[in-house]
Amino acid sequence: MAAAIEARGLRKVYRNGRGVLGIDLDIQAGEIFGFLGPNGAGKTTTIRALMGLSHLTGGSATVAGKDVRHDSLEVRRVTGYLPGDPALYESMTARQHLELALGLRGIRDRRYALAVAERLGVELDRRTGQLSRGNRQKVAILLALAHDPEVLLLDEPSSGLDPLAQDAFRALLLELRARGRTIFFSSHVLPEVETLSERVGIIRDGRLVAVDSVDALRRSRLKEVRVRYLADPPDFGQVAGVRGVAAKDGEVLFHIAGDPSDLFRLLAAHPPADVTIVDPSLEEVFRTYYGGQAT
Amino acid sequence: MTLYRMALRQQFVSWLVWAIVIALGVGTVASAAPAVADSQALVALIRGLPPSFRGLMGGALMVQRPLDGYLYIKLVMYLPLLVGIFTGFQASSLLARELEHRRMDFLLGLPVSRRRLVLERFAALVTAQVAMWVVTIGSLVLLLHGERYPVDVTGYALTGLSGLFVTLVTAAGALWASAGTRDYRTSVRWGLGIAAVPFAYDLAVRIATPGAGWRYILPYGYYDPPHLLLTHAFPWLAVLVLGAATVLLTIGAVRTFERREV
Repeated sequence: MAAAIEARGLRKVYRNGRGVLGIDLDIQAGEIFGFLGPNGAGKTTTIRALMGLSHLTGGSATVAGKDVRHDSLEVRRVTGYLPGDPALYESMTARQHLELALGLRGIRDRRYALAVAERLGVELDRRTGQLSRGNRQKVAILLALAHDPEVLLLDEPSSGLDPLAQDAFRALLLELRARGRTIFFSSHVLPEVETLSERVGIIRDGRLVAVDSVDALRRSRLKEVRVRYLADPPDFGQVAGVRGVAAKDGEVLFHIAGDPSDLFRLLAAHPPADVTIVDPSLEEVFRTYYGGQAT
Repeated sequence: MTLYRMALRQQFVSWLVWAIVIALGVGTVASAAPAVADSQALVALIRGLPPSFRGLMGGALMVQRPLDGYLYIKLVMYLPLLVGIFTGFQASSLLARELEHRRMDFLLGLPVSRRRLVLERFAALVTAQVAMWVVTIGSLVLLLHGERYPVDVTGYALTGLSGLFVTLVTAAGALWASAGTRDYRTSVRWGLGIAAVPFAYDLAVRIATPGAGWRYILPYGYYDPPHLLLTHAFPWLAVLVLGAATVLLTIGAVRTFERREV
């Protein structure tokens, strides 16, 4: 199956030297791909480059089989795009925005768009300047989804949405995936990425540092270990791969990365009263790549 | 034409305000003109001015009847320049305002080429200018008709046509300058600066060589207005030269906008 989004050495460098420094991506049709990284890591730059909105410094990319550099109009025709912190015309209503967007796409049938608007709870006939941040975000999401695009490129889509709207939005995304649509979204909300995405990309300083399934990332990076001793515990800090050892109320808590053989040997030599080993949350995985930097 | 209609709606209020101001201005002139027309005070006053000031007010005044001359000075002569400044502001805002308010991502996230975006928005500006000129010239003609002066529609229309092309080339120049500018204020400064060039040139020529109507051809783009009013000569030179310049500047604006980052 052809990749819905493909990038080879995608590079967009700004005058200050920041940007995206060569990214490779292969995202299949019908996949939800989460894109993680702190502010300034290159998430928005990547999405804008995939939309053909910025001129690439190097590399290439295709979206729905269309070259983003030479065929950007076609890319935008088959793609739904949600900018980060989207700006709308304050004197226009959501319905007028919708008419404008669908009109420029040559779509006359409004039924799908209106159904999406109803599910998201968009106030269609109020001027967007009178709407709250969350309600403006709903309008922007509606505009990205209104033409039922093959590919969705969403920059921080759930930003500003209330919990009910987030639920409605996630349900919509899952339905779109079930219909074979491809969704590429950046987010700060790690549980959201964990819930929605099959695979996750982690970007740092303009480079992809990890791309894998959420499960694989969790397995490959860290495991959280809780060990309870009735007597004094051994020194787990000496075990290869162990970090963040903390003891409290007779329980020792730490993380281990990599080969756990040494840990098992120590546990065998000092049998605990109880031991629990769990996969870490995506947030914990993410922090291992960023050393505790905020997202 | 979706973007064209949208841009027209966006500009509608400001152009409507302009049209109302013009109509009110003409009305004010209408109420004041008879007093001026009945007395030769204005003419005498102007005759008494130093030559440089007389030139500043329009050297060909004396060939006009009083009301005609008064209108000529107040409206016909300086209106192209004032409209040009207003238009320079509008044109420089066409793209810069969208960038300033971060709405360009919304527009360019749709299947719209940058070329189409620039051309449709500029076409809306041109349409609004034409409408404004119709209002202006129409008001002038109605005023003259109301004052029972012989109405010279053709002469004023030709003068207005050449003035329109002055504003078009000003708008295209401002558009090009702003197409590569990120900051809104810088863009507007460029627009106003470009619009002020013919105004400054005209002032300089009038002060230096009062009454030399033919010298005004370059900055105004029209033949000496009295010449047009009297002969009804179609301003071919203005239309051709300024029209071509408008097209070239617009192409330059499109290319600049296609190359830039948004």
